[in-house]
Amino acid sequence: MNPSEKASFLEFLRKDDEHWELTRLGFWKNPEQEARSWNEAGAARLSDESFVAWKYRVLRAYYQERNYSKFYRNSLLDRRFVFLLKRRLTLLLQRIFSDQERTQLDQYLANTDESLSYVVSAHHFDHLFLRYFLQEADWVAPFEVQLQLEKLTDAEFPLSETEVMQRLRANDTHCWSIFYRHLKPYVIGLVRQIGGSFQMEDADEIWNEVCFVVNGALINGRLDEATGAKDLISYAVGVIRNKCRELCRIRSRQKRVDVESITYRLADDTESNLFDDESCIPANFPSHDTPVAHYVDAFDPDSVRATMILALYNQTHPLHEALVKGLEDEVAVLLEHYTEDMSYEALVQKYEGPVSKEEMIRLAARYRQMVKRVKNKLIQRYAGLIKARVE
Amino acid sequence: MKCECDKIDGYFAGTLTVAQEAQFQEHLMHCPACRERLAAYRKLSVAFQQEERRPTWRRLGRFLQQSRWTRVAALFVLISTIGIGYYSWTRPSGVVIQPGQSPQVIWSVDSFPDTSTQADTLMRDSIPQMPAHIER
Repeated sequence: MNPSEKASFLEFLRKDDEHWELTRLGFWKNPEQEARSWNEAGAARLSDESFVAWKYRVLRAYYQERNYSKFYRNSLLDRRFVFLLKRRLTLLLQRIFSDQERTQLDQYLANTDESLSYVVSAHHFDHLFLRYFLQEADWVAPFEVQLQLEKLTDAEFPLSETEVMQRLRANDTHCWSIFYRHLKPYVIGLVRQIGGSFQMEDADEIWNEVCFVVNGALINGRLDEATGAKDLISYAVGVIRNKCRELCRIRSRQKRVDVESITYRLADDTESNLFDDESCIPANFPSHDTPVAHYVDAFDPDSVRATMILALYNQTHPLHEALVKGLEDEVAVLLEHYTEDMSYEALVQKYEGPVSKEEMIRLAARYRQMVKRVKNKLIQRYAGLIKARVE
Repeated sequence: MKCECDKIDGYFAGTLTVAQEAQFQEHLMHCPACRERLAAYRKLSVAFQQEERRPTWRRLGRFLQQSRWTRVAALFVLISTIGIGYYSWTRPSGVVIQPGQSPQVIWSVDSFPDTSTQADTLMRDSIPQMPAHIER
């Protein structure tokens, strides 16, 4: 292999390590050492071979020699590996979700940044794992496992309306939590419009009651078996409306307001008429304030860290300004230290000028502390930015 | 140097398909700007990861590296700790009972006889007695 091919081979191994945490799981010590020590006979790219074909050939040869298939079979019993599989599947579904047009099911049952068509809950994953990874467990290289994941997503997703409704009937908490979040903007809007209340406490109280009622109605079979997504959201909005009327009656008793004079606007039940007021458009609600482009799996620290770094480094990223606001100088120092490999001593010299040896030790320690503090601040800020989504 | 390639963020975040990933890796082979940016992403990722996972002993090691006096002080503390530990381990524990000596008269520092009875007697004596003509 020439130096360029060697660099590419190292990149393949690094990426596999990032995807499948092969160092942490004990497959190798580190990808750099593996790339250096691998016997490269016949691994050079042929003159008529495409890059992609060469990549697959060389990786197959390497992983066959390192007996990856045995490692894979053993790893199927390792909880960490199963977690990685689920993470890879979730990332894949996130990408498909952000590339595809929103399904009708999602339009009815999920917020704009969430999906019920591309969701995988714990119980569902167990079923998929058994079917796609335990029964077919003969993979030569990690990219074949990834290809199997892609085969799985093609075959199983987007979920049909019937499947999602079945999951909701089976009280799948993950699916319900997505639907509950979708109901909140409706509740806030109707509490404002019908209930005449702008207090979040009222909206929260009604939201809780509505979630309880809708969940009970579906899982206890009070709704028809043929209930679809549209029926469910209609039923939920109906419940919200009744609860808001109730709230309005309570408020009218207190303030002597004529209920009918307030509710006459709801003669037409269509969604557009329900939300004809500018302040009642769901997109304008506080829950939609977060500018996260597509949804982040907030329970996966690696995924969160990756998205935070993209926001931190890219000045055009929608979250960049919110993330670094007020910390611009500190972030510049942090980036110089980590991405340009400037030591703390070099940073002191750059920002403080020439200093004595004792002063240098003191200032370098201060810069180290500053970088540490700004890292923690950034983590906390980013957590706050995506928090709205999780709640 | 800038590259208009829009795949790098997806590549770093791990959201590309196998085919897209291979395509980007081919692009990476010829694009120093993307290589540089990817390296920066990875360095930042390691930095933030270390913040989460750095073990205490490594932080201690870094603290010791700060100056010569820190190392001297740490060495002094270490030697003192070892010395005190060694002394505590080897020193005789209490009085040794000689042959023929009654064990009842010997007690160590932490087994003094209970003096509460004597104290109680003193307390009782110091309380003024109630006059006899006052009935309870």
